Amino acid sequence: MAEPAPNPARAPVVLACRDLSVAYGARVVLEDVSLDICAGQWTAVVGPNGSGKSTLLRTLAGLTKPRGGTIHLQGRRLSAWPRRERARCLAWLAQTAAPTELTATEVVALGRFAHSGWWAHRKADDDASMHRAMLATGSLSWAQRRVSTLSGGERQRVHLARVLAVEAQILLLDEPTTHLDPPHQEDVARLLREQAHRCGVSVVSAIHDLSLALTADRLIVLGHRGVVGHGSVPDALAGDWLSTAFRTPVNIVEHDGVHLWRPALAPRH
Amino acid sequence: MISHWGSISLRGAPPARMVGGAAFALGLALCVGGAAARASVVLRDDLKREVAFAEPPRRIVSLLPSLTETVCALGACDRLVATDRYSNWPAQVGALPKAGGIDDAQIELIVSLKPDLILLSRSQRITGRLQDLGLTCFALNTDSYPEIAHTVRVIGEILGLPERAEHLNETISSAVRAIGAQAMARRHGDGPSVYFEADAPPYAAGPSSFIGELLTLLGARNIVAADLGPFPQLNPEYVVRRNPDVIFVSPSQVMHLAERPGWDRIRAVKEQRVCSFAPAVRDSIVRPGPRVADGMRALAECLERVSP
Amino acid sequence: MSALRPALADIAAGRMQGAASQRLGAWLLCCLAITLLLTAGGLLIGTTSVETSWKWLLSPDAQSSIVLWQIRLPRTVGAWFAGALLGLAGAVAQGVFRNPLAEPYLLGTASGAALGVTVCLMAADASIGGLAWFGKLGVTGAACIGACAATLLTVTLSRGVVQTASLLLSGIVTAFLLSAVTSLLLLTKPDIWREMQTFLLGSTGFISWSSTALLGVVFCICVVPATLLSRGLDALTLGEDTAQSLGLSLPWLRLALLGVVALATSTSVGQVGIVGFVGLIAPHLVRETLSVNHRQLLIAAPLCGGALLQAADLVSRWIIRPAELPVGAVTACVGGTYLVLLLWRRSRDG
Repeated sequence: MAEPAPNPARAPVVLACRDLSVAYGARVVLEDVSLDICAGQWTAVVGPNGSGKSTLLRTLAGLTKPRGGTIHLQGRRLSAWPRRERARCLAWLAQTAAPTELTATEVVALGRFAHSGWWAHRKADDDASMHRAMLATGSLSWAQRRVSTLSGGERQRVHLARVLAVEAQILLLDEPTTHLDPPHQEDVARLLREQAHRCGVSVVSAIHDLSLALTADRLIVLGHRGVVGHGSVPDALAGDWLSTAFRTPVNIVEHDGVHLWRPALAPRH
Repeated sequence: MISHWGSISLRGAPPARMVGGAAFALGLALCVGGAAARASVVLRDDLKREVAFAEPPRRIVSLLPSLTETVCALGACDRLVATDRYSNWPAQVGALPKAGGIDDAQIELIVSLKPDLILLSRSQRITGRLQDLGLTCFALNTDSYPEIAHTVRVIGEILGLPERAEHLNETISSAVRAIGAQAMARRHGDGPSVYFEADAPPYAAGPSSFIGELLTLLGARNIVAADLGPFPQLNPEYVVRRNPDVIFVSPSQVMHLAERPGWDRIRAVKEQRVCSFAPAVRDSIVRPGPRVADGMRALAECLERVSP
Repeated sequence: MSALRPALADIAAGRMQGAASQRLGAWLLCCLAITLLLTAGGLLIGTTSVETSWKWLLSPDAQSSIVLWQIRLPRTVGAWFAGALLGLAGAVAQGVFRNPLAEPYLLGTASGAALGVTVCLMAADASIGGLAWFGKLGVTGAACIGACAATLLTVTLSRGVVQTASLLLSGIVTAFLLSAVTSLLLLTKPDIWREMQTFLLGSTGFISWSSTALLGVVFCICVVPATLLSRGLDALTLGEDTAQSLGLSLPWLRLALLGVVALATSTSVGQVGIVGFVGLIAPHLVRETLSVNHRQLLIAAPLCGGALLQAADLVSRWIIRPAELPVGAVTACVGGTYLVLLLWRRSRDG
């Protein structure tokens, strides 16, 4: 059973963007987006393909330069943050992981780069956070294996452990549940919720699976060219943001206090 | 010489003794001076370095075919201990160990032969390395006809054979003059226009090259203008337009001249006025060295045969 | 819980699992042994037979001392350092470009060296006022400067080190551009073509003790920053965006690493000419036999590269003795064969 979300009105804003516009060459992906990400909440970003979920996360992580607008991290402009400090505060997970010959431990150790630096002189707390992260994602059993020899799901969990090992205040995760089987998707959802509610981390994740997304505390629904709405899940359902965003009726049913997406089996017209 | 002076000085009267003594001293000084003049020959090589020779070198390595030929032409072939791989005249150098080319000379081989002189053309890399190892190098560049005389003279001085060098120079220049005069006498009108192909994609020998100089001495007109440089790569169309009377090519190309587009209209090709030389003869034409007269003779002979 | 404690201990100790570290140690010892063997071979092989060389070693005289200690030994040791530089540059280039086919000459260094050599040979001949000093640098200095200048041109053309793909492209453009300029210059003075070609074909025959010292010093200068930055290369394998999000400054990292590649390659080209495949094959050989992260790779690849070039030098001296093959030809044969084998094995394994 999900824990009740803390009152958003009282939670401090850790990441805010105003009038954010992002374009790739001539193609405008996001226009005039203004959002607040609060501490201790799990925010899910949903939207159709090409609506800019990945772009939004990349821009918030500081990897893509926006064409217009500002981003403030903990009150300071994102561009004013020194690189290492920002990396300690913000952790980003890519949608597709590049193939690598490193072992799982080495990958997770790279998550501590912002803390331990170039020479990788690992202190006790580095090891402790790595261990915690790998334990939480269940990737300890293949700690010494090469990542390239792991299955898609195992690899995903190693990368998730890397992101967790950063012990950042804000996690920006692009499709953290890809390749995972349903039990592990559940585990990840539980993990993210725990991070948010118990550790006070702000988790923003782009999720394809609508049922999973609806278990989050808040939703950001992206349509073509902008934000259709952002707020709590009841607000999203009341405003039928999902249907607006996907430009097709989206059936959400409630069952035992849990919101589920019911795919329409009949043809659309 | 010394004892002569000495005996006179010892037997004379005191004034005569003094004169005799002075004469003896002078004579001694002259002889010693003469020996000293032979003792250290200092020459400037083509890399602008001063090289001193206390005595004529006895073990010579030559890394350039023309320098090998010069040493042998001066009769010092027995002093050679190794040559480069392209030296092939006279026949006896074939038996000598080959030390590579000028650019990839085998340093170890050269050092193990303990030479006291290495003759080469200007190449900084190997000269520097050999000098580091304590060997004497002398760089001589022979690119044109006048430089042949200079090279012969310098090598003659190094070897301690200046008279032979002068004699060789005399022989060469008189032979060249004779052949030139003969060719000039036989030619009628302006002389044939020639095209000398030095290498495959038409690299012509211009008048400022060594071959070009020989052809000019023979009274031929080079179709290549002087300002194009010694070995310009020509547009084949140029050769067709200038329509030379005689063409010099390598033997392998003789059959294929007519196949080149437009070349079958050239007078030399139409009338079969093509000269080609066997490699051994060709060497004497392209190498500025003591065999220049032989090369010139071959050129003259062929020109006379095929000229219109 | 008990299963977790050894795992924690492993992580805490930062040690690789026993078997893997043993393998690395054994590999390094093996490499060192091979190097020593090849160095001994370098003393014995040359224009004389092995027996004669052996006699020389036991009862030296003035002349054999020169051959053994002034010609053969610096040549072998210098070849090792040159190969080590190429192996290091190749490993770093493969890491920076994240491409297993990357090699040290990708940034146009080969064409830059050719141009430098051409200009130097022309300046030495013609004594054109401003260029006369360039001629005095000697072919080695000119090749080195040309290679560095080519790298600079590549980096400038790609507008800094923003994107790896554009670096590769501008490397190719630079190579073509400088080759064209070299060809044009050669037209005005075709007789230096042979000397330039021979230099570029690669030769270990001119290495003296001063060359060896230079190669050694540059090797030490290059290996230190490379190993310090090796963690950045590890991070790069996760993807450029991920590496950036971890706190790496990608432009500075790439600049520093490319600087190492440029310096290592230029020095090697200056002393031994263009020797292909060593920089490409050495990291591959290490990765085929060992599983390593970049810190270990940047130590093992130079060792492998050094031994490779030493072996190639010996082969070039031995096969047609007392004549020699250009060492670049030997490495091309060996390297080409190895690549063909690799491709065949990959296609067979599917």
